Amino acid sequence: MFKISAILAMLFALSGCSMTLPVQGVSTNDSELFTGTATGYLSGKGDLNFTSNMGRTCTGTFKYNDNFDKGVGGISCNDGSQGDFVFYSSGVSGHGFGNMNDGTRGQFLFGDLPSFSQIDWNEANSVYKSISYELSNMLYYCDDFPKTPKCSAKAKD
Amino acid sequence: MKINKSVFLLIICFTLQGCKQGMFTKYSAVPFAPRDGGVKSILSKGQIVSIQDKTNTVSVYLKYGLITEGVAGDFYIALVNHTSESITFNPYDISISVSNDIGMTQVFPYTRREFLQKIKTKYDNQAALAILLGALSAASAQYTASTTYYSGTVSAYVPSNTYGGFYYPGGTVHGSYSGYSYNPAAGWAAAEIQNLKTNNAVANIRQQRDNEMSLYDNALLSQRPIEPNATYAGLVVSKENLNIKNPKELTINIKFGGEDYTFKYKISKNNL
Repeated sequence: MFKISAILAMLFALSGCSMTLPVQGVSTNDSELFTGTATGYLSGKGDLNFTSNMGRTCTGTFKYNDNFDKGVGGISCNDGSQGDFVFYSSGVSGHGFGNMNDGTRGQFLFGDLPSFSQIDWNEANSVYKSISYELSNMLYYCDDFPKTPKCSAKAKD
Repeated sequence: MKINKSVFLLIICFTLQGCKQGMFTKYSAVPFAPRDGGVKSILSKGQIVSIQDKTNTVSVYLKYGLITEGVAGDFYIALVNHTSESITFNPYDISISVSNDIGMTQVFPYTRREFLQKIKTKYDNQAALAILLGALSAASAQYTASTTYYSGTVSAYVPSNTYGGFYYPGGTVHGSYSGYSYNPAAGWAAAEIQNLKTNNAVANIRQQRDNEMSLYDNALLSQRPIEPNATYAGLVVSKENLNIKNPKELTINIKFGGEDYTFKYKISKNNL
């Protein structure tokens, strides 16, 4: 009995364990900047929220792959726009790229990542497509964010 | 080790000094959207960097994108001279202001000399405290090592005898003894070991001080001419100003080559 309780207590403790990191990014929308936070859980899922200096407020979710080195996610903003994003992660920091359904694209970093500098938007798009292809079986968020470019395309298929 | 009341209060005071900065609220600062044009922002080396191109180019980023209530922030500034003439840059050409619901407060940057003195004072205080605590520890170690408490019991058989007209029957008597012995050599050695530890700690503090002073001496912007097509970049540390409560907006203005380069940041509560 004690063993089961101990295991249950440990599972609860572990599932409650999370890490919140700062997020900052730029978009193609005339130097729109956004800052916020991303919280990752041991389950491999996470949520994020951020606001932009143009007043856009967005919330979303993300999920890591099995190796916990890459992931995908979806967001929804208060202006009605929705988007997909992909990211690389080292566990405590990382960077990623996103595409909104209003045509805006973004690059972001989370955690302390002094090695990251913004890359050319065409290159960013290539990386976005490459990771999206690699993780195409992880499109889990279309029920919540059906209007993202990827979810819209999936719905048409 | 006994620490008297004044030393105890001194330690509390030093400890609180160390925590003072941590007690202030942190805010995140994000550059305003460039409605009037001229300022663009990019992600560079893990930071949001704002760039303004006019005749010359000035770029700014706020360290960690954070300001602390009462302290403002540390800024990295890079200046590029695109003209064919040398331009003299002076840190006094930088003005920083923070506005809140009450009004606007001017925040002044440290000069290089002031900031290096601040670092020196911080570490010299730490060294003084280490010496003080070391002296107390040495005294305590000397006392502990040199003073030995001894005790034991004795048993002895005493034969019967007559003393002073009284008869004492013979038998075994039991007794105990105790006391303190003093060994000056052991005390001296223990004090020396403690003094050595203190000297090492103080040397480490002074080494840290020299490293940090050297780092900031190289990093802090100072007055100098910037030659055509040359870039000059460095750090600006703003002075503490306790009037900065609930900041809403931060403005950095840099006068360079006769033009003003203005960067505005929106301040909001940091969720982390």
